[in-house]
Amino acid sequence: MKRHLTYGNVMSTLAVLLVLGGATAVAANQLAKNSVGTKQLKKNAVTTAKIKKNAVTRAKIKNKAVNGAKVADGSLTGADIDAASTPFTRIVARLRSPAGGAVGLGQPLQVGNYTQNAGEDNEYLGAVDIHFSASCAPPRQAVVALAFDQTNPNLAESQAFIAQTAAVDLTGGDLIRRVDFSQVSNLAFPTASPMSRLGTAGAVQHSFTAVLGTANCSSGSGVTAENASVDVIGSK
Amino acid sequence: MRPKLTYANVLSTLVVFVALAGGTAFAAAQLAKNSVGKKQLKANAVTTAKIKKNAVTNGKIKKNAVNGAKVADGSITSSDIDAANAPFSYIAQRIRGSLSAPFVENGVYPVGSYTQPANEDNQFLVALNVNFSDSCAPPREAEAYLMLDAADPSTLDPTTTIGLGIVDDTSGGSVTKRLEFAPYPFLYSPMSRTGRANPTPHTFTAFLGEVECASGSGVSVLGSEIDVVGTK
Repeated sequence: MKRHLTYGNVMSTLAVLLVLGGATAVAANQLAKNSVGTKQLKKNAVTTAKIKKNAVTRAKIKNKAVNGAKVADGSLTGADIDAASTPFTRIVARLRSPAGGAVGLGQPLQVGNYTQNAGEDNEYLGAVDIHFSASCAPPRQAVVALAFDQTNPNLAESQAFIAQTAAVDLTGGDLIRRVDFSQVSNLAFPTASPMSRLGTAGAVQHSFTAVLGTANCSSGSGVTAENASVDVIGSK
Repeated sequence: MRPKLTYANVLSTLVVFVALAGGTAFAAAQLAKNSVGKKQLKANAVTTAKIKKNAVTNGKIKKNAVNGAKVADGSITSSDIDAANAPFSYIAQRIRGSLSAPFVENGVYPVGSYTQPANEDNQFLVALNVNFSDSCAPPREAEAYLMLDAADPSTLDPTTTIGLGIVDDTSGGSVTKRLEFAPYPFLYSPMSRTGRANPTPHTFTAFLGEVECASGSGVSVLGSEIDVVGTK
């Protein structure tokens, strides 16, 4: 036996074992961990089916790799967009008078405050509920004015009024009419200012107040202004 | 066991080297189907060139993985955006009418109707297409009032009249011009409506005012146009 333990015999036996062992490993899918690198992968080897669901995370996507052609048509909604960073016209503030708040003739109804952003133009759309109670007999009518940056909300400052609205009713009973504010004309009120403000260099605080200016019933009483709202539409 | 440089020894050594060096190549060439799993793949082994074109489909991308930095500057266009679910102002409705009718003083012309979506502010741009015929000599003029949701559109109600439009012509011949409505300065109702809690149907009508020709007659409305600018 000893005379057969030659170098040649040992090496050839080793070779046979290596080949057999390797073949067995391949057969048993025993490819070593981390043994397949870029060099082992063929070009275009990774097809859709080879990629696990949600495997492509943010870090795997190159900056600027996604363009409009890769985005499904109509798939981007408001939730995907940082609206404040865009130059597009949109509602930037929604002001609402306190729930349940109702004011009678000559009383101010605070609609709300907001801060106009520097360099942003703002337009205002507003509405209010005029509430005729059953005790106010028809024909009946009411006018509500919208005041802007009024320094003393308890005083009627004609220069502060920017809009007005009215409701007329001939039917009677308990009735709520939602009516929209309309620009006050310079022809009627020479000091009237518009329902908009140009942007300024710095941010500016603004306030809105609704005032029930006229309330007429053919007999009785019971008219209030409620649920005043102003939407601020901003463009920059 | 001292090795000798015999033919057998050299050959067997060569065989061992071939087995060792070529083993991997042999294994790779003969890899069984689906034998390379995530354990076998080295980190960062899958480079761009290894990914087949269009292989990265929607389901492969993790939710919120694509942010602004991943999007090519200026590549997103309006067709990518679901405008109705974006917060920006846009023309939400284009209402067009093609009813042809004579422009008769105190007449009523149906301009159009639509439903305002809940919680969407709407502003209105409205026009009538007015034709002065050859038989109406210049200077000639027509005016109309725009009414929104008027219970009786044949009566000018200051709470439902939202606009006034005037169109004139001095050129003569058959001419069609747009009569565009502007907010009327003495009225109480604007050319806009704030969004209500529920969808709200609206109807526009035109109350036809004065119509004048220097001599003769022949003024008509050929159609109407309403653009509703929606913001929500």
